[in-house]
Parts: sequence; C-alpha cells; structure tokens
Amino acid sequence: MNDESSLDELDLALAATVTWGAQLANVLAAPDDLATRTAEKVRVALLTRSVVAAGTDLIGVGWHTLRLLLSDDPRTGQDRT
Amino acid sequence: MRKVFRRRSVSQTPDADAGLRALIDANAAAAYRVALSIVRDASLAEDVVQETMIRVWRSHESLRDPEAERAWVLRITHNVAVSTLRRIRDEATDPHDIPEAASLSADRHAEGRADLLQLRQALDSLDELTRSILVLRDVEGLPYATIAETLGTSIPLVKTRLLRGRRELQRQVGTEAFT
Repeated sequence: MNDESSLDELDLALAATVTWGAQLANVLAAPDDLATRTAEKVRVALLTRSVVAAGTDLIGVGWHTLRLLLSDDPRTGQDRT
Repeated sequence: MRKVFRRRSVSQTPDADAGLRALIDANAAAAYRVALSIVRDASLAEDVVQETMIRVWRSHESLRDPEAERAWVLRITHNVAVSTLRRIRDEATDPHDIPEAASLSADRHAEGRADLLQLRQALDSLDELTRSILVLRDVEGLPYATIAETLGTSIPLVKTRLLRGRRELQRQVGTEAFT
C-alpha cells in the first residue's frame, strides 16, 4: 500500500515536471548524413567479417581434408560412436 | 560442416541490402542520441551506432515483434555504448582521453547556442544512469517497463531518476532559456 501510494506520488510529481524531450533531441541530434555513412560502413564491415569467417572455415575444411588424406585409418573423420 | 555460407551478410540480394538500409534509416538517429548521451563523444557515438547496426542486422530474423524493433535496437545501443565506455576507461592513461572529461567546446551542435550548450553541460553533469533514463523516456518515448528492462533496474528507480534528472536540468538551465 505504501509502495503504491509512493508510486502514485512519484507519478504526480513527474506529471508536474518539465520534460526536456525536444531540447535534448536538439542537443543530441545526429549528423544529417549519419544513416548514409553508417549504411556504407556496416556494409563493408559485414562483408569483411563474412569473408574472414568464410576464409577461416575454408582453412578448417582444408585442414580436415588433409588429415583424412594423410591418415592410414579409413575411419578417420567419421563418426565413431 | 559449420554453417559457412549461412551466415547473414549483405549484398547477397538487393532485398537484403534494402532491408539493411531501411533498418538503419529507421533507427540510426535514435541510436546515435542514446549512444551520445552515454559516451559523450560524437565520433565514438557513431562507432557505437555502427556496431549496434551490425549486431541488430545479424540477429534481425529472431525479432518476432517488428513493433518492438526500436526498443530492441536501443537496448543493444545502450549495451554497446556502456561496453565502449568501460573499455575506454580501462585503456585510458590520460584523464582527457575519457569522453566525460573532454572539452564541451568541440560540440558542433552546441556551438553558438548558449542555451543548448548550457543544457548539454547540465546533461553531462548527471550520472550515466540518469542521462540514459532521460533520453530513453523523454526523447525516445520508451515505456517505463522497457527502460527498466533495458537498464536492468526497476520501474520505481527509473521514475525516481527521471524526476531527479528533470529537476536537475530545470535547476541548472531553467525553462526560460528555451522560450
């Protein structure tokens, strides 16, 4: 009950205060070309990370293949369970 | 074999490219405001926005409620910004390398606008949590519950800090400055 009444008081106090939304939005305004620059940077970053990840995977596959080729055990690389 | 070619990338299709651009167009400015309120440096804020958009794009398909996109983006923005600030604090050897200690005179938005500069200084005088709450509520209009969840706190605390923040801005700036 006390908690509820204090929350109500808090809501009333908030309703009585000045809000700063428009002014704060002005102070924190983004540069006009932010979206364009961000889109370009994100595109490049995603492509770079994707290429690096694919390269890493290919190296892994290559290493696995090499182990298979060099192995005497025909079951190597298969599920032995 | 690992999912080499299933990872989400860009430029795979024109649709994906357009989707990425739409996501950024819709959310970049809001993410920037939240990031700037935390890291207090324009260049760092842009880096935060970029990293946020990468993370959002990579997990975009898991978002079930498109209407919750803005809150989701801002939550990720907040987390990335806080991590960025912590990393910089850990790495900084010179106190002036920390954005909070940087000069406000370089703020391009506040240049030539005494009222905006005053508000910016007042905002900077608040603690990180109160700044975030003010921006998420008064600028971005997020519900109290979403803000509490985003910041890992309670609704009463969000309201208390919001009240304190608004009053502190009023005390420092006054309302007549913007009239």
